[in-house]
Amino acid sequence: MNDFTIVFRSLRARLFSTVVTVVTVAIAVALLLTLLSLKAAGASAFIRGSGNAHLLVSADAGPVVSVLNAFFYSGAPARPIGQAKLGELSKSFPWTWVIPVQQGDSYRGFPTLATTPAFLRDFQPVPGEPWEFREGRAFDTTFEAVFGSAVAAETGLRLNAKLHFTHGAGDEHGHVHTEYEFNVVGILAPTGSAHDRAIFCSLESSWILHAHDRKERERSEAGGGHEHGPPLTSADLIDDDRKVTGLLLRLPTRPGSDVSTAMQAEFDRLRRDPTITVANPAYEIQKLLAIVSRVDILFVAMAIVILVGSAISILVALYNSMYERRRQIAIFRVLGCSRGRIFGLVLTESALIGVLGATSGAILSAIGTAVAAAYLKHEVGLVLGLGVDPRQGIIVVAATVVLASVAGILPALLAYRTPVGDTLRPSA
Amino acid sequence: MTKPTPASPLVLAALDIQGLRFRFGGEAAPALDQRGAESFELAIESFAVPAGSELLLTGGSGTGKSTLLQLIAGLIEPSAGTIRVAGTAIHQLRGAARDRFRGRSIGMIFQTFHLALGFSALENVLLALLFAEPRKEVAPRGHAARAKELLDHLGIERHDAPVETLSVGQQQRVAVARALACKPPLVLADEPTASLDPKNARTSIELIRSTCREEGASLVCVSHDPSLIPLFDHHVELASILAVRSVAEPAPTGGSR
Repeated sequence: MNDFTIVFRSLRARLFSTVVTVVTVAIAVALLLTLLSLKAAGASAFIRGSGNAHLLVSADAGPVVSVLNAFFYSGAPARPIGQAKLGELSKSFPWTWVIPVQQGDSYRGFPTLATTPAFLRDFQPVPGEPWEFREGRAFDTTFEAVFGSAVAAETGLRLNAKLHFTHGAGDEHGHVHTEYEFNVVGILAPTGSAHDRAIFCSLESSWILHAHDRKERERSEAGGGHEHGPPLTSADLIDDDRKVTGLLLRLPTRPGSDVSTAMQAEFDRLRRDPTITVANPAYEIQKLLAIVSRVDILFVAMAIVILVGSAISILVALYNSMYERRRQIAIFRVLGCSRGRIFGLVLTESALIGVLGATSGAILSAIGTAVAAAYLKHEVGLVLGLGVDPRQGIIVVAATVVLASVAGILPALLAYRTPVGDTLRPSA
Repeated sequence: MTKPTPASPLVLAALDIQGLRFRFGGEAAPALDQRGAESFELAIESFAVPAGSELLLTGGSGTGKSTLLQLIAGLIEPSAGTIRVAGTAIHQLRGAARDRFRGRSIGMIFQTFHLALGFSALENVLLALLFAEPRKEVAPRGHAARAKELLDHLGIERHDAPVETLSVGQQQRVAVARALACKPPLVLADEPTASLDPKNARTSIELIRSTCREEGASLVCVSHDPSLIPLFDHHVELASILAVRSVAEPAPTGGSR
């Protein structure tokens, strides 16, 4: 028998009230930790995608739009960059690599990205995490397609499946190029980025589709019928077909040296060209995140308010119990328990509710986010860094215990001031 | 002992009250409301209970019985005078020290027992031993042995039974065991028989007296019930030592009855 026995007895004596307050605190803590985890996961998921490209050049209206188009497939760039410009930009600086990309087609709503093999070799969707093939290999000739993980998961198509691209991004009602059959040669492992929802193929494959459209247009303008011509090959391409919608650029880096100065210089130089839009993807994403995080802060603030509310529920529960506990407090005082020790007993009780609630909330949130992350990865192929950050968890639990203790101060004061004599009168 | 005696340094009195004054107000005020007066003072010039004695104090309601017991237990402050329990001036002790002294040196028995509900018979006795220790100290192993010994001695078999499941007679035994757990030099019994019939009242007083004697505690029993007088060797009418009187503002100091 010690002071903790007394505290536990007291909690047990009011089991219903104890369980309700502990559950209230647990829900608030779980909510706060889950929102913090979502906030972190959302930010990191957003950062994933632009990978190790230093600059993005396009003919889009603005840098934010170009980054959203190129890395998040929000839409297809309307204006292309011609072959001449591409050559000029490639030669303007000793880039580590220049990767041209062309967007604009789709398959069952999944956007396609036509590019060079360097995209799947040198570009890393997340810096330090190169592409991994779950099955198969990269494309190396025309009409070979590589699926992002989510495309494979959602379409159910496996290796060697045949498909036809649709002209127009994301629009399932566009013109289907049935003349050209693509073969799935590779399926990528999840990257946790928007690229998981894309289909990759060679630039020439895409150019041939567009050349085919051009030929049909030419035929109909020449008064010919609307009949389809024979399928085209790379040999039929003219320079005008060889357009791209974006250029990913990477500057040479050396370990230990900062690339930002050179990057800024190149950024400023390219920006003087009025025919192109140049963007620093990392910077544009940070700008967007700054806007989004303000909304996140609102959610977290709401969770904190709920946590404070749960602390108030501890206060109310303990405060209300004080009247019926007056007699017991007076008995303890008669038996030699000091006012300070009574104060400590009530405060310990309050803190203990905080400990029980916060720990169960943290466990609840850890299990919940782990299950959610596993589900998302398995079912949707979405890699979210969900999960309770242990440091954050400890801080939230500690803060909750402090909050619960603070909530106990008022009831403890009431207990401290309980008059002994009046309370123990037979009539009392 | 019916005559007030001054405290002697050689024979340590279990209880020694000198020049006690208490102005009603605050906690004790409601008891005096029925008297319709505005300002009252309780006064005891000199009163002592020698160690090892048993005494019945009788007085009607409103004579200040409860107030006197609260003063002796150090639960309220006198406006003047000294109360010594086993030689210690209890009001000179502050805060936790006084509470611990009360826990160790004064056992209290109430009319309604005031057992801690939700705790077993054994735990009720252990609580007294626990609170009498300084907070940091780990409860000595001797506590459980002492508590069990007392309960066995008083005929409580179900040590682990929640007190609310015990009969009234058993509850009183637990209350007696709890009051004597710390081997206090003084036991204060506040109307211990008020809720019992005469036959049980006699049994109850005999139990309290014999247990106090065995444990070496002095007993001061306070009651409004004159039928208890034959059960005690010594009896003092509260009115003979204690005056509750109306006082004019400002209160006179050092006055006598």
